[in-house]
Amino acid sequence: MTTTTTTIEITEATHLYPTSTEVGLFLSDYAGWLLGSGATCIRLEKNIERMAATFGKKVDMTIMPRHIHLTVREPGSTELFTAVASICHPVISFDINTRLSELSWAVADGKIDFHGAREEFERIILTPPADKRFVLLVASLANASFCRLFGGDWQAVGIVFLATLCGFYLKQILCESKTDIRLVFIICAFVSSVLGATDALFHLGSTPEIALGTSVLYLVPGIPFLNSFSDMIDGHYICAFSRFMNAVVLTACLSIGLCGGMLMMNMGMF
Amino acid sequence: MILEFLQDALFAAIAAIGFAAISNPPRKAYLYCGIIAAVGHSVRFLLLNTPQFDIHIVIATAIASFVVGVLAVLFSPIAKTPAETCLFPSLLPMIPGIYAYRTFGGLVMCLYHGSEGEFAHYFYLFANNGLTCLFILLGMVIGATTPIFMLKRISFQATR
Amino acid sequence: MNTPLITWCCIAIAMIIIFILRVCHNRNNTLRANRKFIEIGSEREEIFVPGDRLHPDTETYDYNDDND
Repeated sequence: MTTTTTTIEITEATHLYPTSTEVGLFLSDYAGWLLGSGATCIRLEKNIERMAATFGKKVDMTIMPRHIHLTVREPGSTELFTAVASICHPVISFDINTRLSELSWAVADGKIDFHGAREEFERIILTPPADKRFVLLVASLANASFCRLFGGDWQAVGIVFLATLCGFYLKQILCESKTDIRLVFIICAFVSSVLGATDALFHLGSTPEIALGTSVLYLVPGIPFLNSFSDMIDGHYICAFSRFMNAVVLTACLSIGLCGGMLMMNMGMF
Repeated sequence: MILEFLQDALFAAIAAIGFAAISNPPRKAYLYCGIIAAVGHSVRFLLLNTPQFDIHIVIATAIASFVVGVLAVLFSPIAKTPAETCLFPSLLPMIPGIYAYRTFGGLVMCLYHGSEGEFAHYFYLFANNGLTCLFILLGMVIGATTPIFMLKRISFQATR
Repeated sequence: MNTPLITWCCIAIAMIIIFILRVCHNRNNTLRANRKFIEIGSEREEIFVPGDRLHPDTETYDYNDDND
């Protein structure tokens, strides 16, 4: 992951303070994981600064869409370390995000030393995601209740539940087999919209268009949109733009699948 | 009206918990996400459905997000998580998903219909939905992050 | 039959087949370890010529190294 190392002058390592190289390697891994698990840029900066200050170092970073460029130096010394870290862990996980933030506070409060922090970090990144069947069930329930929020009748709610169950199940299978995420969105949106149109096809309820409209809402990339705008407010425009484009591309794929489904089912969006 | 209001809150809570589950929150955050989202969505429901207010959806969403933000910051020391962990999943039920995909639907229809009148109509739909979606998102984020900075002392020390 | 109905039936049947296959697959995996119904073979397996090394990582040398 770390590609470039520049050590100009190596001071003797003390037990209290790790060297800039060690700190740089650790912080670049940390930054890659924190950003990959869906943290905003301001949280990344705060956490990194907090930990670096505890180790007696100063850190400057450039946050690029897929990489983080980070330089660690010690005030009053010419020792310098630069690392470029890739952003890893493409699945958003607020659990990892929270625990990494907790780790940064534990370091700042002196509850844990450098090597302890390193070990704890290795433990945190192995955190498994939530149980798949639970997520599948809860997401389907959520989308069904969304349908109710938009004023669908109970038939529509049931159909949206089934459409989401199938679409989300397919999404989990396809993501497991490492299919391209954009293709996954197109396929899932198509399947969900075709199944969501059941209401209109068999004339079951009185609100078929709400069932069709809400059946794909579980695919809308909400967290990337929110992260993008909150980065924009903090002035991280490149990162904000890249996250925004990412979310827009996913929404476009969703719409392609939905339009395809509507076309096949002879329904109009407007 | 009251029944509708309670129903809205209940379904918003279920929706928030479900959509939060997709982004793997810590287990202790589920309950708080549900409560906060229920309150936030009810505020928006009240603002939009009370005829006396007559308020635009962007403003209503921004106000509701502000309430969500305040609650998330106040709950964060109890839940021992950073404010964002409860905040972003709680905002998910208010994400303008329908506007987002209608924007693209409008764009596709623009290409599909060549004549000037139809093109103008679908371009209007594209621009209208797109702008609404963008400004709702902007209003949500500004509304929801303002409390984090206003109540800085609580929010940045929550995970200690 | 009209297009919407055919599409709907195709998708519904496909979903049911996928579901059943997955369930059977999971059951098979727990019974007999990793016996796959369909899998994508590697390039080596498709253009295998008798006499090729069976595993690309294991370098086997026929000649004697210390021939003095």
